[in-house]
Amino acid sequence: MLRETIFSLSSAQGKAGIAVIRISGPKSFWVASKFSSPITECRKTSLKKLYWDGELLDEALVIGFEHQKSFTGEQVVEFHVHGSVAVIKSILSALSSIQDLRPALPGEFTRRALENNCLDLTQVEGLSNLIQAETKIQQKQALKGYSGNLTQKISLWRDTVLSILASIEAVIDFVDEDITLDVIIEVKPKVKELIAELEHETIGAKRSERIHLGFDVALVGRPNVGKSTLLNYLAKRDLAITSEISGTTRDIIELKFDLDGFSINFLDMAGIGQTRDKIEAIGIEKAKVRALEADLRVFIIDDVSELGAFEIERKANDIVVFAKGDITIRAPSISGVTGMGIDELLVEVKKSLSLEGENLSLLSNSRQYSSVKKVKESLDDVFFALNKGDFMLELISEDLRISLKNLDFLLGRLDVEEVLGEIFSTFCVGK
Amino acid sequence: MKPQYDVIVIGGGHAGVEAAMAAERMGVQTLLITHKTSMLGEMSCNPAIGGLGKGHLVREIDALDGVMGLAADLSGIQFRLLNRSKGAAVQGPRTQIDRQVYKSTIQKMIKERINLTVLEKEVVDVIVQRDSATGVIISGGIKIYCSALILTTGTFLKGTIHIGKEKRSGGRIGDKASESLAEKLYSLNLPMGRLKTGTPPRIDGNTIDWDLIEFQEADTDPSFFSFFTKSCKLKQVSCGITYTNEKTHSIIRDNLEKSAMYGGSITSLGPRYCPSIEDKIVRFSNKESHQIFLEPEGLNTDVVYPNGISTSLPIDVQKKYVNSILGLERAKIIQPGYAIEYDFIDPRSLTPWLELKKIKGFFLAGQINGTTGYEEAAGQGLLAGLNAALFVQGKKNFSVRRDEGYLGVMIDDLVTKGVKEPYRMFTSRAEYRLCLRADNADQRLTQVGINLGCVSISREKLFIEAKNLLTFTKKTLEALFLTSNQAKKNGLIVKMDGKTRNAIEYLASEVITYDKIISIWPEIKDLDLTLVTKIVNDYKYSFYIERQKKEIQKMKRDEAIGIPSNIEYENINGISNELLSKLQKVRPINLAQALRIDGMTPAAITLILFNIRKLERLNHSKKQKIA
Repeated sequence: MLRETIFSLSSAQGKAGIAVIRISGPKSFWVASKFSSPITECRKTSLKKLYWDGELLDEALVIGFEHQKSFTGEQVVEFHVHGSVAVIKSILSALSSIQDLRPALPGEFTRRALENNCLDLTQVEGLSNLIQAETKIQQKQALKGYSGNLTQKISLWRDTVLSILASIEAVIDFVDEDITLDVIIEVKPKVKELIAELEHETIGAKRSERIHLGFDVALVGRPNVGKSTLLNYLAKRDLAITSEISGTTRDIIELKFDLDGFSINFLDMAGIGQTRDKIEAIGIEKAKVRALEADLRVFIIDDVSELGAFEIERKANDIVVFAKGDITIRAPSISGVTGMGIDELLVEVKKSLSLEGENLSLLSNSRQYSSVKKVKESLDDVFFALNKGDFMLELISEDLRISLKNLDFLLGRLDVEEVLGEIFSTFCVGK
Repeated sequence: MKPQYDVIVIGGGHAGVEAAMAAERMGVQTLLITHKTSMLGEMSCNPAIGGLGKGHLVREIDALDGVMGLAADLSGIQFRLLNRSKGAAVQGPRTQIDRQVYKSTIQKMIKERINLTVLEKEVVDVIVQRDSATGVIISGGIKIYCSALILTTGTFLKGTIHIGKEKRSGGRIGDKASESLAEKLYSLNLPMGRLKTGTPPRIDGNTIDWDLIEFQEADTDPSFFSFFTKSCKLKQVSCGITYTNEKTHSIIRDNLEKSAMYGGSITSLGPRYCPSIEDKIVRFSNKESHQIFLEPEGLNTDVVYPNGISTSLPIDVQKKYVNSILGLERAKIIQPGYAIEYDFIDPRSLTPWLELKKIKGFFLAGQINGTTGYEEAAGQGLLAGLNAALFVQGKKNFSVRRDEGYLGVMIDDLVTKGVKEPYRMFTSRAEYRLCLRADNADQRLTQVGINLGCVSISREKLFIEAKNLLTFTKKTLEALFLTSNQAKKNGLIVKMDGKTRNAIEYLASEVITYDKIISIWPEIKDLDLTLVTKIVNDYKYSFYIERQKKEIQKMKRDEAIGIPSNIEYENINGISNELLSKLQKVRPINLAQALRIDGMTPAAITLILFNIRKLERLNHSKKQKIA
């Protein structure tokens, strides 16, 4: 069975200077030759006139990538055409009319790249994050995943686990050789070090996920204290705004805000106070729940006595500011009307979320997080067993194999031959 | 031509013997052809059987009523259970062997069989008609016809012996290589590869200064290979241990150029786990000394096998470095060490029941498939013998699954992954190691053997008795229990959680001694201790085994998905060239086997599965059309 050749507009819809149409699959070069002269040199652009049914459609830059040298790993042709709706439409309709050719499904080019081993899973995840990145920090984080930094790190962890496993297996399978139990003592610090590193990474992972999804900052206060004014003020600095989304309930408004490259979701919620209105009461309950789940809470108050009435636990980093700083002057205070104190508030937000520096975890989603966590748990068992001193080596080996499996789950491979290879390059066996 | 024999086995090494005996047990008329009857049962390398993984294999051979275990028990002169201090799964029985006794035991066993004939002749050709093996031609041009053929010719294919720069053709020292048969095999165009292995010089024990040497004793409570064996038949002896030193190393370093391997005469791959002394010194140059075991070759011989110094250096250098070793200063070399290069047939050309995919009724076993070791050879021989007999009887082929035995692990590794160096068994090759213990080989395989028809009545009786006794023992132990409170009152160290635990759980505890438990439940003393240990071992592993069972379920599910033989991998787009060539070589029979091919990716397996489904639909609709 031959793989189908697929095509799609790879740049955004709508009018633009140029648009890119990508064709991938075994028939790509053949397809290109139906529009203009055949591709003679790969990975070199050439300016060609594209004809269909004898009619000139556009003048375009055409690039051909040969098998295994392209993004998808298949033959790929790209038409860089003028970004006119009519040009794009005419070329896409011409492509559709060719037999054995079909429009690509969403994500299909990337999927083929994965299937052809041009990208591994963590890179695909990185790529998807990169395409969705809206802020600078999100872009950085995603690029780390896409460029294979995570892959490199997992490979390093894997090498360590493999070498530990090889030591254990050497003691089991080559007991007759002069390999002593010292080997086991030697692996102990290695296990400990790796556990510490994994732990560090899993702690950082929560933050990385927030970086990808944005940090939630809840604005908490009594009704009419000035929360919406503040939000509106933030929203007015339109350069900073990337999008505005209504909350799932009418009561919670989310404002997506780019704070020096970090994506922040400010949550404006129902004012918390006494009410007889049933619907408002539901809104208040929701606000409380959402505020508690947020990464940070900014309490906006008129008077310190209000703080106890909110029934929302205040955490160490949470911020308290006085409202209506344009009317009464107390520090720290803000005003959504004049904008006073707002820059200072944003600095505080940044500080409270510890957004200084970019010491991020490479783990950017829950799949990666849970695999690494499982690796760590198995290694904890290994360390416990090694510490106990009474070695059930075959069980330690089982736990190490599970660690390896989970690391492989992140990337995709495992082979006993590798364990043996590691043994033979490290130990002199053969009596 | 009507076949004169059901099964013909060519070769009388460990694979050939086990194959012929297995076919015979299955009740088919079997002929074993060897060029020298007196060499049947010869141990041509080190005088030991068993070890880690290897010992497991022998126990499994015994569970299927093979001969190696019993013969080893009868000729063992130093039984040692390796890894005695570690868990049951990684304990492997091993023994030094009196080679002479082993050989005569095997020869006697062969003579006793009714359906087995031995012929001392050279086989010069095999007869293949319409892609089926139908017989052999022996020297003198006589044809003997058969229904199935098993080839177990070891290292005889283009065997070249190297001692320094000297080269000569031959399989073992003193034996000539069978060249006309080799030519025939080459003409069948099977994929071949070349491997290398080596042996150390043999030393005259009378010239060793034993006073200078440390000793390793035999176990006081020996573990045997056969479920029949209850005690040692021969006197138990010790092995000597000595070490190389800086002087040894410098002699070898200075003469590396003269070594066949380092001088460029040998280019093929040798086993990494059994490196020559030259290799050890080059690759592990920071190691100041290497251990050497001085293994006696028998009770009535002075020949000593110095395990650990195999070599391809010239004789004068061998002598020099041997004499540099403590205790060997005056040692005389009886037979020089040598390296041997030989061709093997890529085992990926075999089915999981060791039949050539290209030629029906043609089975291969042993070193010719790229393995090393008596145990590995015997294990393959056994399975080839069984399958040749099943083939003759028109019955379904038989293979052992990876979770059922080391036999299964070995053959699956061979036919799925092929070999790059001589293949030797290790426990680390078995991913279901915890289930595959030496102490439960009978539980895993004997019933299978009974169903196949390769197990004698006497063993069947023994097995059923043992099985009943095991059930009884387990029930007895389970019926003895104490709550944590009662346990504490009896002086047992236990977690005070109010739980009731049975005797097995208390026995499995690391902080409670066996004697303490006996003092509470004296009736345990009347139970068979090996069975009690086995049950406790099962319990200790139960948590991990439960986890493995899930994986085994998954494997079984994938095994149920057969891959149609007419699948065209070359037409599946998206499979890398490297993987494609592996798939074409291996032609896996089911999805589980395909998954085990090196470098297999989740994406490729999805494509294969997709194609299987497509072929199934196609075949289905074809059938419907015909109907």
